[in-house]
Amino acid sequence: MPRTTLDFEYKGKDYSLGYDIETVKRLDRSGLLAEIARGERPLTMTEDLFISAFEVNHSFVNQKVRRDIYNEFSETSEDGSLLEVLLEMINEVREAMTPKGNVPWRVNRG
Amino acid sequence: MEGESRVNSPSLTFSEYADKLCSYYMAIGVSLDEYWHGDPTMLQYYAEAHELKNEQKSREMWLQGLYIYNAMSVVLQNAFAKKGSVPEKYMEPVRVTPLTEEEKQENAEKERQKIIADLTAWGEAWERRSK
Repeated sequence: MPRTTLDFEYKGKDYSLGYDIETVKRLDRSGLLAEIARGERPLTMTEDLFISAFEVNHSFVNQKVRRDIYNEFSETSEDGSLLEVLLEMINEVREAMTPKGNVPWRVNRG
Repeated sequence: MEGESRVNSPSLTFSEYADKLCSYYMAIGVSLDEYWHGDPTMLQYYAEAHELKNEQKSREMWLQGLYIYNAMSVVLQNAFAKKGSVPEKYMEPVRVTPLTEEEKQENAEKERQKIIADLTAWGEAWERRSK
């Protein structure tokens, strides 16, 4: 089953947003995933996740256009469903890359 | 720890985890570009294919063992056989692909002919005994 994508049309152009391993790694190194994992909710969290999801299929779309699209999106997504979808898509990457039963997987509760 | 996430509490950060898995996926045939920029949900097919290859290799090795075992048995059996006895033959290769329809029909026909021959021989033997 192919990855989950966020598909829409904006000003006559089709977009398909998604995440690859590289993009999620960049989000992790920026510290954003750590903040989310700690239960923090940075103000620009949804926006940052949304903008980074362009990297897979629309890396040439500039930041301003991405923000404009996000602003229109956020107006129709006040219940947090956009954030939920983006987090699910990120989690899907982590789950998809986990080999079934081949890598030692230790839980750290400390 | 600052700058580290522990998504669903694995012992590694996502970055460390991704780096660690990269070599594993490359070892089973995923290119570097496909790993980092491809669809991650496709990785499972590589892993499944890898398992199938391992299974296939195991079966090949088992079959090779069988052939060697048979060859040794035949050589020893013939070496210690009584003089004049019919020598044992080396086994036919094990058929690993399914039979075609033609081959199935051919085998069925051979089987039928064998039954006819057996019955005929049995009938003749019976007649000889009856006389």
